[in-house]
Amino acid sequence: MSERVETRRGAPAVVPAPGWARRLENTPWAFILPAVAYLLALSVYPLVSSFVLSLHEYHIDARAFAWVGWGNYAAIFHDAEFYTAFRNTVVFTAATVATELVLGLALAVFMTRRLVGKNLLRTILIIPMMTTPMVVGLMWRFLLNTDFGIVDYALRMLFGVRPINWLGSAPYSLISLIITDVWQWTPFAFLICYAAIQTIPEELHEAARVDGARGVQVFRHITLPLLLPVIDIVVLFRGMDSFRAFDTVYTLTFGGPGRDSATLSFLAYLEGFSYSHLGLASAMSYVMVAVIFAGVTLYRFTIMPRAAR
Amino acid sequence: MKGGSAPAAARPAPRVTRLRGAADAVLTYTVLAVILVAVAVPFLFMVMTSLKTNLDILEVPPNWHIFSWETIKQNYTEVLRARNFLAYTRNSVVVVFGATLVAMALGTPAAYGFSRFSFRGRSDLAFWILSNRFMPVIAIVIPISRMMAGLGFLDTYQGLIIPYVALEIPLVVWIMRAFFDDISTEIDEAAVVDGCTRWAALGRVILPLAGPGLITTAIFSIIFTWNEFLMGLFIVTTAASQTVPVGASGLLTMDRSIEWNVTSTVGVVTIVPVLLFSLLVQRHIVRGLTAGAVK
Repeated sequence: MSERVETRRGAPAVVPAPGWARRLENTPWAFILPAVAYLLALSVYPLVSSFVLSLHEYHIDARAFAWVGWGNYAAIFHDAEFYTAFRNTVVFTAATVATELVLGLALAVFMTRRLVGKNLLRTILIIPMMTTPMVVGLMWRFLLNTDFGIVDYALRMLFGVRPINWLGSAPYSLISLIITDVWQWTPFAFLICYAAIQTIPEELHEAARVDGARGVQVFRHITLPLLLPVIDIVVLFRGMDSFRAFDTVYTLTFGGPGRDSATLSFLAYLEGFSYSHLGLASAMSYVMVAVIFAGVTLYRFTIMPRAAR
Repeated sequence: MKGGSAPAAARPAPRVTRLRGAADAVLTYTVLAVILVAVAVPFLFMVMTSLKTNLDILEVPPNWHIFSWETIKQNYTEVLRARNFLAYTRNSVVVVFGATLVAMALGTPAAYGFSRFSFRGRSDLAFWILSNRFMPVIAIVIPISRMMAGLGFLDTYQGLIIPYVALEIPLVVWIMRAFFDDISTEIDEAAVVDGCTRWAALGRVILPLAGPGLITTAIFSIIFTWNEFLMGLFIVTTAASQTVPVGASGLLTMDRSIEWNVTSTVGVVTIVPVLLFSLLVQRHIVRGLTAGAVK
């Protein structure tokens, strides 16, 4: 056996592979199946298992494990905290995606000017994205501190704004989370849009200008339509990531005050990890799975075909 | 609009142009400065705080003249030694490289398969693999931690590596596929005609050509795993086996006030390796980000 392998390494043409190997050779499955099998075992199976768990009352400390059907779902849909978390997650996702896209796009268009230090700027903008998200939460927790945070100090000095309890009062704690996410991920929207803008032939812009289009019109009728496919991608990636936000919530507000800034991921974590209500936590996370599944399917069957054309 | 006045005639006089040029430059560099400040300030404050004693932090506006070598040494020794962050860093490094290696080994052939074979359901299967990237970790973490517990893998390197590989495979397949798609199929066809098997064509001909792609993909996998927090939180139950982010979260006990200087030092220790690494390989990061998105 080993001898034959060696021969084949030395003179590949001489020893024909056995029939089954030949057949396997010409299909993609030998290449693809290991990865697919791994994902089935460690992504799909846990996902299914999580669903089964969501139909049970399962309290890890009490060793209780009992079938409750849709009981956990009924329970969370009567839970005010769940509604708050759902609303928070939707607001957070919409606000971060919209802001990051608009800022990133504006910055990308802006960067098409001739200017010195372009590469430096690009390097600088990579940094927030690569920073450990939980540490980003920590940094902003310090900056937004009411007593000694620089943000409040700057607002007070520049605009005379009265101190804001950023992390400890209801609308502001969610706003703090949004600010933090925008700080970290606007560069992602920028880098993707910027790369796409550079693939647009300059003649297109020139032609439009010769035809009398001005700055805004060129953007509206030439740049924007050509950027739509990558805008879709930014919305998909950022949307899905924002929707399951956890790390910065954990380190910046810990869902506080109370549960006022909890996201779905965070609430499910609290139920599962801190209170050991694993069935309930699974039901909560399954609501997220349903939403994400809907979003991803929508992308796959409506937006992706459009982009491929 | 068609056939409007010639652009040259419409241009304003040179003097005005120069003024507008100056205004333009002012605007441009103001924007650049704002971005620079916005990115730098959070880091600056964290680093500064990590150099102070806990009392000095409370001064607003911050006092920049109170650094002493003693305090710096004290903060960093406390974090690296007394709070074990050297050990956590070692744990993280082992897990990060282990997971990246396995994910690349599984994901690269799959990416090649998607790039080189056309078969029914290819785009659906490829998209399904990518869609795993969007699944909320919280929805799989409970069964996975129970699996790992069943295998006796809680608090072990393999207990972290095994689930991390699953999180990284979608990333590897998607980025590597974009790189393979850029390599002409004629090259592997020539290798096959010369008697190579498909695997040999991949290993000896295509992979060497896809070197930059492999590096880029590995970089993303490394950074992603280093930063991962939620899965680690469930798999790690003892202090000794913590990864850096999990260890850092241990400082955030809600019931007592945070020691900001220590916390900031931990923050610095957590992100310095990943940022140094990112800056070293930034060219690849830009390529990787855009490989899948911009075609």
